[in-house]
Amino acid sequence: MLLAAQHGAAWALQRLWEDLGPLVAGFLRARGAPDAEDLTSEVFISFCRSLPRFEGDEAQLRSCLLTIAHRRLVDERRRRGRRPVEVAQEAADRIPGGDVEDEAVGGLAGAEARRLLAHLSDDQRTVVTLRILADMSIEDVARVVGKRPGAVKALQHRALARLRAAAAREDVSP
Amino acid sequence: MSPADDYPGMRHAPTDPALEAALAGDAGDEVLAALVQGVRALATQAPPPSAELAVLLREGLTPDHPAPAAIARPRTRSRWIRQAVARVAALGVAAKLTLGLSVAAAAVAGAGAAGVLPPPAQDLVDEVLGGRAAEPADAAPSPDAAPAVDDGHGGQGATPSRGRQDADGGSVTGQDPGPRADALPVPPTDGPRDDVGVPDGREPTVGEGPRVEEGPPLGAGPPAHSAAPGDQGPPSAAGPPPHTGPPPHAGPPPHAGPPPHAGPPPHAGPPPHAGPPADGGPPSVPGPPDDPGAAPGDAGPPGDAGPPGDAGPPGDAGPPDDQGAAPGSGTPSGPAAPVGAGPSADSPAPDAAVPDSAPAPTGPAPTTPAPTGPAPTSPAPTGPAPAPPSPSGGGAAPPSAGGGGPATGPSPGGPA
Repeated sequence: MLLAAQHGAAWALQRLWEDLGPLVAGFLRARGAPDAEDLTSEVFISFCRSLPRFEGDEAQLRSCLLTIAHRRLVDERRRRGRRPVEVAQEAADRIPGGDVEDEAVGGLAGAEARRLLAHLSDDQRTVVTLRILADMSIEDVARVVGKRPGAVKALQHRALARLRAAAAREDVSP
Repeated sequence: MSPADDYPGMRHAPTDPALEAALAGDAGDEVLAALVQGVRALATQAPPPSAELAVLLREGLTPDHPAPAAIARPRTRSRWIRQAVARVAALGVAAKLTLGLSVAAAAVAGAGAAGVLPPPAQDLVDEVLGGRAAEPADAAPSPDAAPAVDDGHGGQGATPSRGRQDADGGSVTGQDPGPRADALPVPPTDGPRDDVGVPDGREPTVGEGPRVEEGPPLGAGPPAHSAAPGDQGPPSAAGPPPHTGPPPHAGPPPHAGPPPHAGPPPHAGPPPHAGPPADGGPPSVPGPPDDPGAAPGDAGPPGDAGPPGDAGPPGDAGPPDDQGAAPGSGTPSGPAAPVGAGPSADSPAPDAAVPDSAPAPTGPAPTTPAPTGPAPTSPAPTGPAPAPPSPSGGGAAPPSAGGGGPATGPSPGGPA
């Protein structure tokens, strides 16, 4: 399928969109991307156009796609000059749904996730999201975000500590 | 960016086992378990693709969505252009001038070849190009002419045409005339120009005047063939009158010959000429009129026989024959005419022919150029008219005319 996609086969590209589209959309939503839907399409278009030059396995393909998504998001934020947290709230209200029950459950889970992620910095959120959504290793995440693996480990460690602290405060405060 | 990046000791921080457990589905840490579930819930569905992405998914990677490699080409071109500009800029003044002139010359030549230059410039280019092109073309015909030469002594323009006829007839063999063939090309233009005075090709014929005349008769037939297309009739007519003296040779033959009469006329025509050469131009003058009559006779072939007789006496008859022959001659009689008729009978007729010869010259030339022939012939039309008068040839001519003749025959006769 990858080979066909590299040759521009529509069916292969459609399959890639079905398999990887949700990943990109979830990554952008979790990152609080403004207008995550449109940005997802833009990311995928860029990804499809870069396919002919791609060399690697499936894991590298996912890494490549998420790298594009990360960079596009950074560019978009620079262009808009908006704070990710504020955008995250807007995006949370526009999460597309399919099945009503799944949408309800997903919406609740998604809302809880976005609430927790709101306590993290952008880099921490990126590392945690990539680790959870893409099941990527520290090294892969480091490549995507352009940092050293040690820095990624530190970001992850501090993110989890902050989440626990936030959860503890919420448990106490109510 | 975040403080963690520079946080000492974090580089070697072990992977958080709680997170690994949560990622593995272990709900040991409720916070992390909720986070993993919530984040994964965000990626359950793909958003609807945008319009552009929808097209891409439906049609695949197409020219509208070129691959990066394809997009990179423009850059390459721009680089190449930049390099070329840089190199030109680095040239010296003289080199730049030379380059500019070369480019301008190439552009003008190309535009001229394409025919998009302004009228004046285009005419000039056409002349240059046309002259060059004509030479070769002429050369080609020359071969044919060669045979004609034999007939005509030297008559170039006319001879060539004859040569062809002869060839057709088979009797006459092309001899050397080859060069005259060149003259052939001239004829075309000559038809009209003859009067003015044919330049290159014609000149030769002219000089050979007499020969030409001879040639014309003979050639007339042939020329007529090529040129015949209708032009012949007129040419001969026109030709003779003006040229009276010498011109008849080429002029008439070609004109008349080709167009109307095709084959037949030529026969008659040629013979007279042959004779005429000797006779010279003088008699020719009167001859033309008579000749025309004969010419009209176009009957061409038959005329052949007749012509001889005609020629014999006044020679005028001869000329007419020639003319007529020339016109009609062209085609049909080709073979027969060439043989004997032309020469023998012609000899007498020639005189008359001579007069006609003046036009004839043009004729011959035209003959070769057959294509051009038409133009010249136009004038000839008048000639045809005269030809008709000379009924003598007429009868026979028609038959010979056969294919080409018919058309021409009528025209001539009509005019007459």
